[in-house]
Amino acid sequence: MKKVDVPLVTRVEGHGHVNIRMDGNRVRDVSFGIHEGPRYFEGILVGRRWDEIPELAARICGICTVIHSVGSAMAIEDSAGFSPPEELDKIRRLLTYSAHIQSHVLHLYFLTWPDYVGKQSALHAYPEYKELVRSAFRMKEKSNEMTEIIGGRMVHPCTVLPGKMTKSFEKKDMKAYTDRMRSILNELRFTAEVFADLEYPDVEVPSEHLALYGGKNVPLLHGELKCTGGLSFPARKYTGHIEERVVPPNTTKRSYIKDKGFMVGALPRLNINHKHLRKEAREIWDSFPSFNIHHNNLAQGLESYHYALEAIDMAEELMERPYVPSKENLVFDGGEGVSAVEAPRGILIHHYRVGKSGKVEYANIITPTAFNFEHVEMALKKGLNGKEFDENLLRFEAERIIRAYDPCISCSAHIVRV
Amino acid sequence: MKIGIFSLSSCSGCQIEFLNLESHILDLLSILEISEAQILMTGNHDGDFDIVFIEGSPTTEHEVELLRSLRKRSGLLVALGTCACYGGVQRMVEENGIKHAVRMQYGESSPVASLIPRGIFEYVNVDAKLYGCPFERKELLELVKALVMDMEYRDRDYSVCTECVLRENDCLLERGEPCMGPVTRGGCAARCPSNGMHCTGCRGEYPDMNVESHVRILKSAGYSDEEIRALYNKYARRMP
Repeated sequence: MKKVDVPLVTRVEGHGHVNIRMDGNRVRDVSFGIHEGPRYFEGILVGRRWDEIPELAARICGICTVIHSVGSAMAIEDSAGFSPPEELDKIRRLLTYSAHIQSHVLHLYFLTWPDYVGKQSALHAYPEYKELVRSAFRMKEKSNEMTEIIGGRMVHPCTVLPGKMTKSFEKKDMKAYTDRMRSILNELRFTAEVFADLEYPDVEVPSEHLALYGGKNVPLLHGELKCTGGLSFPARKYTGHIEERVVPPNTTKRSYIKDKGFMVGALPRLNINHKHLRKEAREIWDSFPSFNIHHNNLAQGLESYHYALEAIDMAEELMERPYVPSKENLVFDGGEGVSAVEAPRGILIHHYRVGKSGKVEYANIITPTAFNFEHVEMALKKGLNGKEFDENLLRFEAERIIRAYDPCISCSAHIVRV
Repeated sequence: MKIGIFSLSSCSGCQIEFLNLESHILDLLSILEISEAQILMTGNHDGDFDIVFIEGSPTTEHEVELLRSLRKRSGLLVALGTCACYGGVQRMVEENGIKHAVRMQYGESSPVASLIPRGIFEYVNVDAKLYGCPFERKELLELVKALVMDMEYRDRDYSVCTECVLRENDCLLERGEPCMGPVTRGGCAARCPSNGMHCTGCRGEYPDMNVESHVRILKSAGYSDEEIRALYNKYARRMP
């Protein structure tokens, strides 16, 4: 029996590997593993003050940084029995929209697209595709600038607190935001078209897809957790429906719903919410539901265009209603809080218990990559087992499957918990 | 010049910030060749590098080995961001005791032997440091320019307050907020205080800072010794 390894999966965030066992040229079995150095985030958060949590949680991941700060702030608010007022919620959504677009553009053009044009990287593709690569940088730059307008910084925003933003947002901020979003709107539509037209390999993995659902829009911060199979539950009930388990010999913790692996991310979001996708995006591609995991790329393209349209409408609405932070601080009476939000790569759960002193006593964070871990392996087996490949093509296909999930391995603060 | 970008245990945010140079990267490609960067491209580079940028801090023996071998293979080695400079927020495990944190994350039987995250200078010689969580892109461009032209790159030897005053911000410390500006290295144009957030000290210490006076102000504003220690030890272990 021959072994083929991918010791370090490239063009993904963090450190993962693949081991493949072969009978001759035929794949017998594939496994996916993670060898990220441990970072103990839950241990770090315990004992810290409530108002430090968004700042620290942001540092779990440099790509999903915005959603970690917003999601952790919402869980802390929940523990204090506080629901964010509408204006605060809208500012947070603007921040989340630009951060999702940035993350999707990064993933689509810099991590995924080189596979479809046979290049090592987007930079290697530049001489042949000058306009496209420049456009990708431009979309990233503008969406980063929007994140900075609201968040104060592109990576690790400094304006997010439980209960409020640290500063006011006025008409000129909203104008600066919409000007930038408008300037890349055509390029985002073009991106949705490019990624809807790519020829994807067929790796269909029938399974539950899990996403937030609210009966309108494609929700990112609120809603019930809903499965394509029909199951639906509120964030606070996550432990009753999502089971985490260790499967020896691997030390990685995996997640299951009804005993089976499931998927989170852009494709599950649209499989569940496609009816609420903006018409302009639906006209580009509308064959939902799809269970071909490579369509996660296509879904990210459609979503980015959709979010841009939503964000422009929302920022225009806020032009007439400036946001001013409340002078009140949250009051803690000893309680637990949970939030379920959509990170660019899928459902993210933050769960805290905060004592009367305002210090965190318990923390549990489950990231989308932790949820997807079992599903990635299911897709690898589905796409590769029993098929004949030469070694290089095999490594390429394995990496391409993993990249489709846009995994964020540093994010898996929780993933190796035993 | 051949450069490499490598990641030890971290959030990857400094690599992302490197990519946030956006189309400046295309300009840099006329003088630099990116030979290895796991997040950006497939393939390994077998030869030597002129400059290696390292984000994160080693938390496993494997990462220490990688760091040492990169030092041997590279002319210059740059610490990219506060985790590489000091250990970063992940170093807070040292405060609670690493055993406690390991138990919390993994239960009684830890599957991994892990090291306390420290600055990479504790393992190898470092030629330049870019401070901040994440570092500032402007400083990266200045550093690359200096390295390529063989000129000296100088760290900012003044506080965040120096820049905060220039931006005419109201003093947050005077308002009783736990601002770390007076004891934190400048260079970020007082980014957080300019956005209504007190400085959290992510760029670490600088020479000539007056810790004693800062601690006195915090105490008179009602912060306990324990709270002050927690503030100082958030991004770098400054009060062991």
